[in-house]
Amino acid sequence: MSHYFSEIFTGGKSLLVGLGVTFKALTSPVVTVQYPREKIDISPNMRGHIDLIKDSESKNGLHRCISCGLCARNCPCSCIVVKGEKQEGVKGKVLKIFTLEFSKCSLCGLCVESCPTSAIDFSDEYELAAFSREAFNFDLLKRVQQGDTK
Amino acid sequence: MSLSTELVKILNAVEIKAVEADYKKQGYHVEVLLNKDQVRDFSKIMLEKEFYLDFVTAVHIESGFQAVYQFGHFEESCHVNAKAVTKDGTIHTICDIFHGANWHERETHDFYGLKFTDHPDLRVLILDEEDADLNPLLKKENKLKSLEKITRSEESQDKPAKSVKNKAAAKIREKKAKPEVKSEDKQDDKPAESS
Amino acid sequence: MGTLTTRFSTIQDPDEKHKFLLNMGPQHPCTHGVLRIVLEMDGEYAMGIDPILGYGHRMHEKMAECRQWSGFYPNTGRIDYGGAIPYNHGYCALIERMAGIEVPERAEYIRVITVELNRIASHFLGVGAYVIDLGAFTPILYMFDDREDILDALEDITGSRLTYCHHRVGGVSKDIDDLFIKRTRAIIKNIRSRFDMYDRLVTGNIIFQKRTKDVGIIPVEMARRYGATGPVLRGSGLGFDIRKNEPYSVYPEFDFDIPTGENGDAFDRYMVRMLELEQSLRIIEQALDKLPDGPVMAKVKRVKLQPGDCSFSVEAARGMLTYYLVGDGSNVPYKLKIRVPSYSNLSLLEELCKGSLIADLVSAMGSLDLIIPEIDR
Repeated sequence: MSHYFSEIFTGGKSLLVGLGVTFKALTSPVVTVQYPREKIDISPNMRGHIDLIKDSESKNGLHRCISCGLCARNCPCSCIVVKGEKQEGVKGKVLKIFTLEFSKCSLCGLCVESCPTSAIDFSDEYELAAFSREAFNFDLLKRVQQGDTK
Repeated sequence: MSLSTELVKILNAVEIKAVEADYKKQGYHVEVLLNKDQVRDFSKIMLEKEFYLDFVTAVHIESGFQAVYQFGHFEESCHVNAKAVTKDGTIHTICDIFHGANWHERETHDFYGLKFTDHPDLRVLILDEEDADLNPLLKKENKLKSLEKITRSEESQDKPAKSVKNKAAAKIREKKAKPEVKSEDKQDDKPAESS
Repeated sequence: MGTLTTRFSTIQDPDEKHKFLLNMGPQHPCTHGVLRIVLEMDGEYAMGIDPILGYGHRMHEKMAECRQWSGFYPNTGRIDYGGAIPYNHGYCALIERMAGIEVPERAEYIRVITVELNRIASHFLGVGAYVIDLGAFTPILYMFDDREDILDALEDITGSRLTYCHHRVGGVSKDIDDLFIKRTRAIIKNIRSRFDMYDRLVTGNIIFQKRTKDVGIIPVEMARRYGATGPVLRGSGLGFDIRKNEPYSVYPEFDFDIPTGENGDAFDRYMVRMLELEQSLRIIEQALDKLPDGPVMAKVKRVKLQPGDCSFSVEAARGMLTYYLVGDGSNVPYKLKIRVPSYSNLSLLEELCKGSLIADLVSAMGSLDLIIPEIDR
């Protein structure tokens, strides 16, 4: 019988101790961030989708891509398409198509590491919800031409 | 005497071919080459010696399958890798000795279609029942390779003669060896001619 | 599906007429959404247990055979999403062992730091989810608060929060900076100060103790037959840890203990996880103190997978992880086998819980800390 009551006593005590922890948390400052209205600063190293870096000092005045296609070849998901053309009067190839199918991308970063001219980098965009798959077929060349990149 | 040397002695005493492997290169301490019918005797020894089952899997090769069993030891640093070649796609189960082998064998049956005889319950585990005959890890014929090509070259000389596939491999080796001999001959001949 | 259903439909024995089948999962919270267990119930006792896998099956092993070895990096982070960095580490170390590549010392230290941080995050996830399975909702919120700090720190160097792809053959993809070191020291201090709170909130709770003590007892001999490793085995009193037994990377340079349980019940497995947090913190602290300068990436020429097989085992958050690779001289693996710890740990469930109450089954299964997509691969 005494065992019965001692068990009730220790059990009740452990519950009160646990409740004490939660009560202390109730009075401590709020840690929740009200997301759409408030935003946390994200790390500069976050991996978003890739982007061509805008570089006005480069040869073509826009980006450093030499359309070698190493990023496309190294991509495990084959989600990058790079095509360059020979143009008269210009040394090397001229970038014509640079697209990314982001819905396939696994954000491993092998493309960024393999780029010999460091022409691509991760963007810091993370709010990328859309209603259709086609919305994730990014034309990176167009983005850098329009000045959407960082 | 370390456990791996002791184990090699015990296995060699019952006519199971075992050699100590280079841990730094291969990641296991003892390599065992089994005949198809030695699998059960071997795993009984492993249970006696208090090994645990790491995994069971198979490799698809030209002449059939190579079943791979890997064991480890809780107290001592000793990994044992055992390989058994089966040509007809069947091998005896060890799941009554190591109960953990049950799921590993079912998985291997799913992926390769390798039949484990006397397995109590060899239905699909990971795949869907509709895909029971899919065997996704079977290779296409043009990608299939012989056992010789996927084993370390120093070891291939020590291996016991293994019939058809080894003959084929031997033929390949002969073919490879012949031109070398010829070229050597030519090299020998040429200076003779010029002089 | 399966023999249980057929066995059930052919039950003729009048004594067995009162038995019925119960489908636990895939929606049951304790099965984490992707595991289905068909139970043959006798009243409230589970007499037959038949786990049905494959809901999260992606055939990673076939993917490995269809691409160059370097294309498998992102897959390694997606097998076990709870503790992904040990999987990164194991794969890179396997290729390094096969090609004989030396890794710079600083890179090895960074690997150990990230692996241990990830182990802590994974144990917080595992324990939090376990306590939620038992009906205590609040502890997971506190644990996720701590886990969040770790994820923030890891995001700062790896770039992602869950499916990391940070380690590379020959080193790591990104060096750590002073900010990260400062941040990690703050995390260590913070987590240490919270251990006492977890004791009061979870460990000392009488309901939690009654639900876990003497439930799901795994003897060492049973763990050996099934190949169970990790906290599941250590809870049974056997201090087996690949980090100590077959030291890899720079683990021999650190001083840490392997916590073990006594009875092998669910409570011991929980305690082993909580005690491992402290050991992981110790390893990180020592690694930060000893962190050498130097490059973080070795010069790696084009790696070809030489003919022959090779295996590498690491201690992942849930037990021993083994990669087994067969090469054929090209740069595409001929075969890659991934031995995941949860697979062997779950396979003993049938023997463990036969004849137990369904509430105890939930408790015993939760204490195995399963990540089901890791089992399905």
